[in-house]
Amino acid sequence: MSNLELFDQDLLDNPSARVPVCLVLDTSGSMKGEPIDELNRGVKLFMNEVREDEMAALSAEIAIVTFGGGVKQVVEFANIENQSIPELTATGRTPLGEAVNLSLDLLEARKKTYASLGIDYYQPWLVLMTDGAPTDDVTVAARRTSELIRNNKLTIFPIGIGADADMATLQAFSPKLPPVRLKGLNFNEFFMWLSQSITMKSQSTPGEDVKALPINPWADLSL
Amino acid sequence: MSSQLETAQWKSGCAYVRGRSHIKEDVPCQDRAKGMEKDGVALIALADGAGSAKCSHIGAELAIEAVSAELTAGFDEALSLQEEDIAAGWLDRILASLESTADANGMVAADYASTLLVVAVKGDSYIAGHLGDGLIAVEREELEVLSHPENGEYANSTYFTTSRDAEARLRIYRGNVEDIKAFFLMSDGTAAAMHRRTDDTLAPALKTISGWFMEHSVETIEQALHQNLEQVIKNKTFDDCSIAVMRRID
Repeated sequence: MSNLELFDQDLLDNPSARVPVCLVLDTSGSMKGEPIDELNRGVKLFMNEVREDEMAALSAEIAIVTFGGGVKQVVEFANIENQSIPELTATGRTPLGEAVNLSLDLLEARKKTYASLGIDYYQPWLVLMTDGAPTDDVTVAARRTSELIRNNKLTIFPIGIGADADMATLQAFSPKLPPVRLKGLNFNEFFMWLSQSITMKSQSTPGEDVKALPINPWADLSL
Repeated sequence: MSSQLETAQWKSGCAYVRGRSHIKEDVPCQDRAKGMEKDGVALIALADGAGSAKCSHIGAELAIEAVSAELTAGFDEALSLQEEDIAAGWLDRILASLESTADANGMVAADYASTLLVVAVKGDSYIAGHLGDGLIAVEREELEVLSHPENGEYANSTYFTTSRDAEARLRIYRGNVEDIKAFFLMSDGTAAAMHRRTDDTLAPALKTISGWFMEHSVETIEQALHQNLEQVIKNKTFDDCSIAVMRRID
């Protein structure tokens, strides 16, 4: 079979298909203390998990937008190898609408970049976490996410933190999936679940629905 | 008699292997590929079962069988039909087959969804069809893409035999084989190693494979294709990998 072998140099490589994930995180004043510390630990765990998984590291691209006082993009979309883990601090009001609008703009721009480079991509994911109620108008942002979701152009994970999270507002962003309240401050469990779900999504093939993993490790499902 | 001689000019070989992701999830290989000769028609066909469809590995086989039957019996007629009528004829036959199998097993046709790639040659003419992703290439002096993958916006979306708009998405190609040395059908898993999307380049490995047909038996070639999919190509993708090749040997 010696002359019936194919060699690597006679084959071609393609960039792996990307899964853009935007974390939109509440860093308003009410997150001070244990909540922001736990959120920081969760984000760190998440980025490390993605980095350590062969497939997720090649596929996942993470951006982080925070809303606390102002709206900031603290992590830009890039390969995980080139990203550093942010240290989030809590301060100010809760401009959630503005943060979601910025995130949608960033996801749209990222998709354009992929398309221009001939890189395939999966449907973007947006994780929205808040422990309170927005201090700005969310009407436009909620309309944008709802329309994208209905057209199968976005998956959103709306997560409430603590008893004061405004679940009705989160629901307005998510016509398909109901918002879920985090069990206590179990950010670690949530982010572990998220990185595993990204790994599954990055291996999905045409026609395959990405099976959502069970959310019980981190969700407060009590009524 | 003459058709016997003509089809004898083409030799085909196929292989398919289960991808790394399906091994991990303990799901069967959903790719299928086949070559055949009948009634003066030489043909290769390949189908990639839809990831979420429960019986798509069976659906891939049924689609290949149905289109092979349709093309071997109807080749001459298809040369003069409108493209949309050819597509409609193939899909009618495929769907009838999927539906009857689904009915017998308490399933629905969508459980048998797959893509479809086919090339048939008779005399100087070829007819090819392509639905969904994967790739059809030809070797003239150089390698050329005959039909590109058609995905939706997302990497895990494409068109299947049971898609609502399958008829409109099934692309038909017809032409003369005069300057064509070989045809290649690839599932998207194999295409990941054989076609670079950014500059639309085909891998030199395809020429290597084409060369094997001049020196080896079909059995040896199919063994080699299987082994190379298993040991080399599969490492470039998580998906199932399949390939079907038809080479002119005169």
